[in-house]
Amino acid sequence: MDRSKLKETFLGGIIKNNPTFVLVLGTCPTIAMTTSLSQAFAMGLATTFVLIFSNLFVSLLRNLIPDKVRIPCYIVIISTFVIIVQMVMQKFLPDLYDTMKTFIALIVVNCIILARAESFASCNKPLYSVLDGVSIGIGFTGALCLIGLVREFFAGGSFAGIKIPGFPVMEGTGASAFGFIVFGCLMALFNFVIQKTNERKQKLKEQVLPLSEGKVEGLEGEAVK
Amino acid sequence: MTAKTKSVIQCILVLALIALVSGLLLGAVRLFTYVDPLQSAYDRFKEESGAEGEFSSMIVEKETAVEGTNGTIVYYAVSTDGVHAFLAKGGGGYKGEKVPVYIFIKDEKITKITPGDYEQQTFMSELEKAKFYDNFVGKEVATLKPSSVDLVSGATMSSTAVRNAIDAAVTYYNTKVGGKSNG
Repeated sequence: MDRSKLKETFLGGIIKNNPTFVLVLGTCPTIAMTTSLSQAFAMGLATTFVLIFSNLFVSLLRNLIPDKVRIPCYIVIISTFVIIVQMVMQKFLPDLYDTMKTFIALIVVNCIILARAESFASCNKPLYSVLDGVSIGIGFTGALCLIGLVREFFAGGSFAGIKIPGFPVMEGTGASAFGFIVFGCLMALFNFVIQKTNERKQKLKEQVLPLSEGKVEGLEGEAVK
Repeated sequence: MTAKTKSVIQCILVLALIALVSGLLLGAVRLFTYVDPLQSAYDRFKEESGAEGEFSSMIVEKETAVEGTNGTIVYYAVSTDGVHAFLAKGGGGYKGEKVPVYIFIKDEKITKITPGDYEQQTFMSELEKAKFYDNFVGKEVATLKPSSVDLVSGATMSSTAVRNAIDAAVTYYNTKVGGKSNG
């Protein structure tokens, strides 16, 4: 088991390959399901469940599935887990299911899940594929919750379902157009922070590299590690 | 058998196998998560009627027109303590819409009438204010003539539709369930 690959796989989906803020995938549920934090969280959890299990089964069956019918096979696997989510939600969370049912069904064609099945799970071992599903799921859920938190704050005057007394509800902020604005702003902020962090890391590397190679200006001797 | 045929058969077999396993898995999950599609209708009947008994089987579960009336029966069920619950729709409402009404009958008398989910709430509240439903509640089903009840001014169309819905439920009860007029 390669520890560095495990770490890279896990962090990749949350930061470097964040499906919402970096890869800009799954925009439809991102805008539709982020009017409140609870909906955003539920959508994120449902997608994560489907991602984990579809990745696992695609990975397990990767040597069995012929190349020509791989997409129909992936769709059957994904839709199985989407229906399971639907049945469980309908039984145990009927109110939430009623408000979300259209978008829960649409997880079948969510490009994040299909993309991970096609690009990662079909050519990696089950453990890495499950980890990728968890990581992408956390990245997606986190992004959705962040957008949901901001939208709920402006459109509903509440914070995670708790009403803020005296906070004026702004007209029009509940619309999808405002959702896109929030999405864009958060995406810019996320990428700005990542870029700055990478620049800082690069700078640190450049400072460390001459030291390790012993090329420190003004010094005759070699650097001591 | 050519290589191409073999490959096609392999594709079909793999797809069929995945579909079969998927079906079995879904069947197993369904055993634990089955929800009766009419459960929400039973819950609503119980909530609206205040009946102590349970509604567990629907006698009418598809919208059925009642002959001789301008109304339909959407749902009809009987509770374990003998409450006959109807969700009826009456035609002739505002802009020609059908108005849903819950009607409850026990011991040959109408025990309660409540409005169903209807968009024109202003008109429905006019009916409540005019105590329109009191004209029917407590009356014997066999002798009740809904069409002879006065309409509410300011909500003429909605009161007509409600009257038609009650007429449909009463007619259905008298003709099919076995009210007094049925002998």
